[in-house]
Amino acid sequence: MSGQPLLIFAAKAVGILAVVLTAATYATWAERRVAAWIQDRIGPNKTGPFGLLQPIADVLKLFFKEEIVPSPVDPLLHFITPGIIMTGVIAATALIPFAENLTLADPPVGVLLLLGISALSGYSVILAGMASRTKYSLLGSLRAAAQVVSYEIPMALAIASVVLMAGSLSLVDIVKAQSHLPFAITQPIAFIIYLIAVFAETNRAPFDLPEAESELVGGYHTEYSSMRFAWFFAGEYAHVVIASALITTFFLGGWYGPGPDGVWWFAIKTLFFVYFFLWVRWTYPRTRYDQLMKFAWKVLIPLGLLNILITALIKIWG
Amino acid sequence: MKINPYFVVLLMTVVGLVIAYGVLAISMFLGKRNPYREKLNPYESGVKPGRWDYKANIQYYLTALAFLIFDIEVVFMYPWAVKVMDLKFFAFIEMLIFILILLVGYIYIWRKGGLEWQ
Amino acid sequence: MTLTAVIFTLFALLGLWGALVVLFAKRPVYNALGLLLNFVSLAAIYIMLNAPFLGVIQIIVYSGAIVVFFLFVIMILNLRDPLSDMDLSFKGLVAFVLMISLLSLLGVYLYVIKLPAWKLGPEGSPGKLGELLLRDYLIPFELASILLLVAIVIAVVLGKKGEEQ
Repeated sequence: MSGQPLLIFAAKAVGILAVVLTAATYATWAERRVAAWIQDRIGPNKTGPFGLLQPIADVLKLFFKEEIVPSPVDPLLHFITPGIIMTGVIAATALIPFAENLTLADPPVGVLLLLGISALSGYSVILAGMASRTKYSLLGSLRAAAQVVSYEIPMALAIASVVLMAGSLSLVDIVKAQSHLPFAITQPIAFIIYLIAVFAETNRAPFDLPEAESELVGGYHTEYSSMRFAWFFAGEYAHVVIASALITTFFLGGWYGPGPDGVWWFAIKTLFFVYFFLWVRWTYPRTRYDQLMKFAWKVLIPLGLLNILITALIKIWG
Repeated sequence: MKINPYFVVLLMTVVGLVIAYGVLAISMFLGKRNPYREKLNPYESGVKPGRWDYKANIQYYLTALAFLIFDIEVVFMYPWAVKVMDLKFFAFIEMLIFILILLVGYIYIWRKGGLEWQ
Repeated sequence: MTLTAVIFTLFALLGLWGALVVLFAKRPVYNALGLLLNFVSLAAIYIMLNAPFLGVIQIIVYSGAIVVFFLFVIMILNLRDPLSDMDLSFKGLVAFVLMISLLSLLGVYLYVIKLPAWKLGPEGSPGKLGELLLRDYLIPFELASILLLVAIVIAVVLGKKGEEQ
């Protein structure tokens, strides 16, 4: 952002990074507690109050786990792949407008830059199978890659409608365009398309086919263990946190809310969607792969195109 | 002072790389290692994995190509979406023609069974 | 050197490294990843040259879609074995000579005409680009969709042909 001392800027950057990474870590704890609650169990409650220290214990344990690099893998690719999603998530935090004066970077093409980072993060699942060079991983990768790639199109179409409404590719402008009414109300179709596409992009249930344990052993990360496996796992939760923040930015008016505006509104909305992700996972069964792919190509893409044309007509007349 | 927003994104990407790969590198040295041949076998339920060959579904190839084409189409929509309010109906008709031409291709893929999965 | 110049040089070198990996890596995955590195560095250079829209499109379409497509093909064909060594046949030799002459011609051309250093103005912004695309370059814009249509038809025909075999 413009016009602020370097030191304050650095403090903001470190603060944002710390909050996002903590949120991602605690999303694993939340998942286990929510799952337990939905299934009428107790969940982790021994490590600290309410089991709050559980994620820290898990991380420490994972650091000291034996790293197994199976013989058929490509060692360099095997090392590179797990870090891709984490890098993408951290790069994306630079672009998210948490509040009016709490945005690290607001380039005029912010939306497209975000789509680019998201596209590059997709390499994680593709390369995991190619690094492993074993059949379960390769099949998992092929599935995951086709799924991620297919849902990128409806996602981009939904965001294009939002850009049309705001008339700008800057994320701050998009939030400001929602100061009266969030786009979730004025763009309900785009909102629903985006929400569905995000579940597929993050490989979360009901679209978690890439890691379908019952069919593909473990999916693309079958041959990963120790911290390398944990990084895929943590990356998924960090992705969920960032995706929730983006839903808030694109469709729920970011930092605006009834009453005083500010970063707390952003936090509340984002946390709600993180919970929503967990809630859906433990409520809905997994979809079938052919249905998943057909749904993207035969329903979401035509719907997204139609929505853009109708939005443009209304904008021009209105 | 004004910081270039693209520089900030670059900086955060570098921070991301350092964190992501720093952690991976540290854990490489922390865990003890005791590799032996059986442990390093790929997962195969305890059976010795043999030579495997698989025939990938041609649908994956078609999906990847369709994705490539639609991705380019969507990219054309963004500058249009920013500018449509200035050029009004003219721009709308242009995009309509653009989409209609591509719709022909879309219907063609559909009719030829390019969107089916078995 | 200013910081900008340092970053620019860094990306130029990274792009060059990527290009060399494309040429000399033995395993197809690494060839594709070299291409990816090259594309991303090029995108960064576009952004530094004040054409941010072109830069992000470079990331989305080239790095995001085209390299992904290559990786798909590598996965589908199951190209596990390293590629063969350089083609030293007569055909390869002719190709090599042609390539060298083309490159030197290009070098001489660039040296003789001395490209003027021109600064990109607001043409690089998405709004200005949209205006140009929708008003001044209307026909090419519509032709692009016909090109994409042709690509769809070819993709389906080739894909279906592969299925029958």
